[in-house]
Amino acid sequence: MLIETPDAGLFDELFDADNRVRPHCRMLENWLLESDENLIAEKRREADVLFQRLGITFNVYGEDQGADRLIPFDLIPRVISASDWHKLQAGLRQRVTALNRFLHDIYHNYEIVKAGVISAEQVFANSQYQPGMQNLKLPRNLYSHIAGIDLIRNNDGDFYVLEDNLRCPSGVSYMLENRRMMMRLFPELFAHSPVAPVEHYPNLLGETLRAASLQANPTVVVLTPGRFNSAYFEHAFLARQMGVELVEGADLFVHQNKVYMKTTIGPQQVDVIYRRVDDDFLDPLAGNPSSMLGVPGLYAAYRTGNVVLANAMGTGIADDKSIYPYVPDMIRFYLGEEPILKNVPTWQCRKKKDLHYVLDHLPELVVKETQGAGGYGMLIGPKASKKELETFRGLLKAHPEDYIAQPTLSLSTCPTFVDEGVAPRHLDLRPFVLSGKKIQMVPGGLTRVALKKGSLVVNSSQGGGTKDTWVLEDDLC
Amino acid sequence: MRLHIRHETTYTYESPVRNSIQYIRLTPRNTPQQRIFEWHLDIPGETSDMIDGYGNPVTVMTLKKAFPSITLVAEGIVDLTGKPLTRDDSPFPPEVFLCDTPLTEMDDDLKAFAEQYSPNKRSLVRLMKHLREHIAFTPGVTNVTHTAAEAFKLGAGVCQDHTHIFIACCRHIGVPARYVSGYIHSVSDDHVATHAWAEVWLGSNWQTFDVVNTLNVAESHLKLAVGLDYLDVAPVRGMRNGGGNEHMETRAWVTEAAQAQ
Repeated sequence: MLIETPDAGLFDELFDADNRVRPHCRMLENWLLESDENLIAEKRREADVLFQRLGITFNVYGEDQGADRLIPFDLIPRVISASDWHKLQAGLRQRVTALNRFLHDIYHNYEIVKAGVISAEQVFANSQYQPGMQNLKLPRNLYSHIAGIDLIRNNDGDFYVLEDNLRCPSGVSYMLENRRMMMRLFPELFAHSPVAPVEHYPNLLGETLRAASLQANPTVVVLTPGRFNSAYFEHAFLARQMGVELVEGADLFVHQNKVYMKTTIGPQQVDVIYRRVDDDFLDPLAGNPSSMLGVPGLYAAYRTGNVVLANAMGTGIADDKSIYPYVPDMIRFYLGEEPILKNVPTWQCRKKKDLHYVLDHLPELVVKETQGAGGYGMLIGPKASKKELETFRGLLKAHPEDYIAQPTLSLSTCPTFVDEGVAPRHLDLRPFVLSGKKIQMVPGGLTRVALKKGSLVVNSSQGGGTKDTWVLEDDLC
Repeated sequence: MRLHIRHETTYTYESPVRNSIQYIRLTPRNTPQQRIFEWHLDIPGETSDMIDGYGNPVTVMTLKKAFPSITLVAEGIVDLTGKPLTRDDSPFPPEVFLCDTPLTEMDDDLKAFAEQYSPNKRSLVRLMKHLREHIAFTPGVTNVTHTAAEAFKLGAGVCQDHTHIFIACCRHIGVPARYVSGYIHSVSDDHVATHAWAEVWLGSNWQTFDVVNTLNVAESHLKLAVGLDYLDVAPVRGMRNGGGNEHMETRAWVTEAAQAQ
């Protein structure tokens, strides 16, 4: 099978700048060259059928409720060398440690604000700051037990953090199922390459959730908004893999500031809730009064230390796009270290000088809403029409504080099966970082790929697909 | 001034209520401005306590048995010292009170109105007076779900609406403003004793703005809770199973108590 070579000037995960295969990817190239097109086409159909049967579907926002569809799965894995992962892992540990320290700090003595590193207004006048979390002592001072850090590799070959997801990061079930699928379809590939395992993620997650409580043998549950949520499959999947109950709000109740699960043998106290319900919906008596997804009284139980929420309430203040530019300073402030992972240079439109620059250079920049997620409400300058540019110019002038801007980074590419054959497509990486007694992660994460030629939007809600992510245990192959 | 307060709230239901849980904010804090001599909540069901993020004491009540009606009584004796508010009594910086909430949402008309004022005391006193003239005190035309913009458009409401509109305007021009619930003592009997007003951060301390009474001092105010809006401080927030329609009746007496000195 033929592999289309990457565009000059872009970093490709398989080929180097001279179109030679990177040494750690040789085995993958051989497999691609030797594979017969018809066989691969058949395997792709097989994968589709298996995913459909497993029920791994995804509800796309903006489409009809319940319109489940498959996230396209690409058979060509994305390979990360052992040395790259080694550095990534150290950088992720450092970053997540600092983010948890920041959350603990701003919900207690806010030393970072007093030291003038970040202004009080940026932290406390932010709608993501939760006054209800102030002075609440959490076990191990942990807020984001599960973090999903979105990384891209720029054309300089370095990984950059695009955003931190500290609320309810999703996608880990795809990481696990993608690996299972590859092992099932191509067992021979794994026989000859030192690919680090990821299957133990549910064990690590369970360990992390149990460590979130100071109880000796805590009862853990997964709280889902229900089967109409786009990530319901994942909630059910993780609960099953960990061997804990999957519950909805109505399955729990609060009495004397303790949370109980209704079971056939009577109420059972719950110590840790891995909640996939947003902050505002957790307790109708504390947040949104019309929420049917939460548990009345849950906030009181949390506030009095009788239950642990993973992740904590109020973590959104640390992954807000307006706070993102300060993460390198957080690392220096709390850890006294230089950041290992790079941040994307960011213009804060709330600052007059930055706004001026952004308005002058709009066609070159990516503009994002500080509160946006999922790739909505975003402008990609180089790909935007005149009309789109003008619309954003107006938005930026009217509400500068709602936007940040960044240079258009050239996301790295990786060979991907497309209608025309095998061609390079842009991708990112979301490793999942677990904070408990210690910080743990499985090698790799979820690789998302933009299936449209030239597209930089990898979000599954906007036509992105996924790949299996291989971290090599050693590079000597 | 020593005050005696008695506050009764009764919920009557169409059919008996099963399983009910309530967050009750009817306990004043002991502060330099208000010395609590006695305070007592008479509440059915089981209770437990918590302190919320703003520092407000909250009583959590759960009822398991079926009840046709529920009566909550708060009663106590408090000294109001008349001392000004301390420098800052929040567990976080005043900037928290710059944040909008759904209930303090503004529209273009309200924004234009707010922009006529400046972030200083004199201007905010004018804002308070103009608001009081513009918004008639009219019980029954709004309810607890009305936003600042909606009440402003109506031109009528109760202390809750006056306070929401005022704090929304303050926040819009960059002045931290918080919602306060509590009791007020007035010499005339016809006034409502449960009350809401605003506190505004003017650079070095909090200042009282009672819009309904166009007062800038808090000599006759007993504070129960502070927050971003009514929902943060509501005397009672609850959920229940069954009960059908509910009827709520609340009465409060705030009278001067004899001072034994």
